[in-house]
Amino acid sequence: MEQHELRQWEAQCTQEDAPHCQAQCPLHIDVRTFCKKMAAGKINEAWAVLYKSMPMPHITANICNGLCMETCLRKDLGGSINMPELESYCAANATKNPPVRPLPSKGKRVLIIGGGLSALAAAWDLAKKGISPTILSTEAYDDVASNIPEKAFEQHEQAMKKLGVLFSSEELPEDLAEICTKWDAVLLATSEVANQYPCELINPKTLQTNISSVFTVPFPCIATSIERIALGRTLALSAERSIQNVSLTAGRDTEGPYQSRLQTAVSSVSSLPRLPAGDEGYDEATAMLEAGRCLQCECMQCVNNCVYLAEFKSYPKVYARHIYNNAAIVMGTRHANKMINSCMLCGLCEEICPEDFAVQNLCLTARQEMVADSTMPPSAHEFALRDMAFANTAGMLAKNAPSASASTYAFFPGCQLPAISPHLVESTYNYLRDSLEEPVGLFIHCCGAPAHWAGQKDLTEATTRQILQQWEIMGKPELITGCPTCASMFAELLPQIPTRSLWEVLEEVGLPAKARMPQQPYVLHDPCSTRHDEPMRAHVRAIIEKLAVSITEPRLSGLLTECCGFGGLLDSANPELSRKASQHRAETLSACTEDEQDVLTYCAMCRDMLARTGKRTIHLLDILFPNCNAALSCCDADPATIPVTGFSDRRENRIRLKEHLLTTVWGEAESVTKENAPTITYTEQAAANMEERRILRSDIRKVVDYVEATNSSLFNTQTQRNVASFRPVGVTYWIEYTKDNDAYCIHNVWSHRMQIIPPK
Amino acid sequence: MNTLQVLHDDFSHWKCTQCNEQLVFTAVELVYLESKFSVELPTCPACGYVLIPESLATSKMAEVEQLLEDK
Ligand code: SF4
Ligand code: SF4
Ligand code: SF4
Ligand SMILES: [Zn+2]
Repeated sequence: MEQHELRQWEAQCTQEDAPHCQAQCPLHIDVRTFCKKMAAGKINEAWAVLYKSMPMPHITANICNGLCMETCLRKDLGGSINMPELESYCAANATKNPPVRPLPSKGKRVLIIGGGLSALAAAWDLAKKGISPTILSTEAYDDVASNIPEKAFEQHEQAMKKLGVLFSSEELPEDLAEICTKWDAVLLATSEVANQYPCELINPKTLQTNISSVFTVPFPCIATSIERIALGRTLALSAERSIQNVSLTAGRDTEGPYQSRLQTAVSSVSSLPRLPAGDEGYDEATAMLEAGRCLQCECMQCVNNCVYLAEFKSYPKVYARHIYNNAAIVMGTRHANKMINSCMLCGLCEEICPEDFAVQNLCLTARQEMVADSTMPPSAHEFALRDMAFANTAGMLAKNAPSASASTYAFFPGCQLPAISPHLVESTYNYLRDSLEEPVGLFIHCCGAPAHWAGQKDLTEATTRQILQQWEIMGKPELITGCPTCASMFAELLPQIPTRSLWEVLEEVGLPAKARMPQQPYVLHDPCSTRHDEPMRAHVRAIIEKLAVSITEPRLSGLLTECCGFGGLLDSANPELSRKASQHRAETLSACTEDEQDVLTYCAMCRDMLARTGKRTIHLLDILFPNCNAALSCCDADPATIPVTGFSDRRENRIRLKEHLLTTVWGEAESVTKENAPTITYTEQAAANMEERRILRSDIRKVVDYVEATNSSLFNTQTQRNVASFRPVGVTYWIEYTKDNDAYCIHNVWSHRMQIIPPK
Repeated sequence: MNTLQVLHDDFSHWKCTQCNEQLVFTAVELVYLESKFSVELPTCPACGYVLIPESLATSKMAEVEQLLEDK
């Protein structure tokens, strides 16, 4: 990522923008923090917040008229937060004034002609910056003093003294040009004096006049007290800049009230009425409650709706910076690797974000860059990519319809449906052949999504090239996609191949007569890959309607559906978070109805991901094709109770399906030469560890073969068990076993990636 | 290169089945992603078969692998 791209990403997220009250306040008081401290009864800390951003806070806090209240998001939810009352309560009850520490003197002097709020505010700000102000007025406090409690006034005077603000009662000078030679800048602080001198306001933003070191309030000047204080602040800032000889205008766009971009979701906030103040103002308890009504406005809409974004405890603006820094590291630990690889690439954030921040694009690009610079951790996606490689070799099948030399259509079930529910591939394929008049081929292959998600551009391209070649060999059939992810991948990566979803075709040719009559209603889960496939979602709903199955739509569905926890290879890169994501989705689905309903979905992976949380989940094909096939390990059980298919079973299912179809449909049984390999059994513990550690039965088989071939192993004389290892490629697999009459019983398995160089 | 001591249990009850030798702690090199470590591990003195116990593979070794991957 280039620096300017980082800036673009950062600018898109508005989470750090000011809340509307703060943007509207001419002094930009940090209302949120102030209210938070007040609500917690931390009066002195709240006072410190005001002290930091208010000129002469003892006065300001007592006369503010609450301009911020116009834009407070509480306005229509019980009434804006009563900031004026809270501020004066705070000023009256704080017991500790933060120290006033002016910057070291810059040896510059400013003459402020005229008294009043603008003059006092300008003097306060200038003095804090180490520029000595002198207020030339005999009535500096005339329009203020009567509104300020005596105690506050005393404290104000002490602070002004500490700051070194001088007051002069000399006559107003006549010759402005002459004064300018004696002072570094001159401020005309009231409308009356502005009118008295022969100079003209030329820039209402900076308050500069035609005499470059003279700044003035406008004439006439109709302003509320808080606006006059803000004018004083502007005068001070302009004077400072002119003294320092820097740009008067740069970076001042948000000086006065402005419109913040921050968007806060308030639709679920309930109304809470404003608390009235008595004649004496608030008492402590009421002040705390009133401050507690502040919504603490922030955006965080994406974070509140994405398990992944919440997991890393921040928000996209910060993530963009982490990702940028991660790429910049030459030596040291890359702390963002896990974060980059944990996004499900589901695109929900972009739909939710008022500014369309697409975290998935940020993360996918980062992955592609990591792969290109060889900084992608091998363990992140290797298992998933090996599975893809298997699906595209041993598990792959591409055949024209029996006795056809080319196909008009080909069913493309994807790689997960054959792995999870091979019998559904068989029934669907048979049904399509029966229902469509033209020849229907079968094309079992992975669409390349794992390679794409892993940021592996070359591998993605190689995979799509294979698909394209095979498709041409089959006579360029229209592909009927059974998996929503495949459909979205084809649209993105292989737009030249005509595709239609299985659902569209089924709707057209009619549904099989023998549908399973399910218990109803169901909660419908749209796979995240259908987010932008409105037609597919509509076809599915049409089929459901034809089946007369009633469904409930969850809070987040359709365009706003959530990922099941598989997307972006999360399950490979961060299995724990993947589980959390599945759990979260299951809970959203449960929360949409009062009594637990089963989930209906139309992606094989979604079905397994949700089922592993214990949520009863079925695939739409389970309803359409209730026929069971024992040869394909289908057991005719209630489909919602079928356990999740383990990693090894997925591979075996693919092979089994392929052999079965080759025999039954094409009559070409592959000659499977069954050698007399030793049988292998697994204890329950071993099987569980294999699943958790992603070790396949085929990996174990390799270790056993190695033991058989070399006869080498280690033996624990206490447990009477053997241990052996083998390293096929990048991982060393270990088995702990007992052997009885050539049969191996595996008690435990583990693995590591480090390579052992044995001693010479 | 310093040789690391990571295992403290007794492995004298382990044997190499092929050589019928007791395993003894020997300096072994572990390599991952261009990093090398020398570690004392139970090894067959005759054929050099090295034992990586489960506890080592799933804790310390996994941590180091993770660290090296994020480097
Ligand atoms: S709720 Fe609080 S933060 Fe939001 S606009 Fe109102 S005062 Fe400001
Ligand atoms: S793409 Fe999905 S997982 Fe990634 S940040 Fe957006 S909503 Fe979260
Ligand atoms: S939704 Fe998320 S990315 Fe968008 S502005 Fe809000 S916090 Fe930033
Ligand atoms: Zn040996």
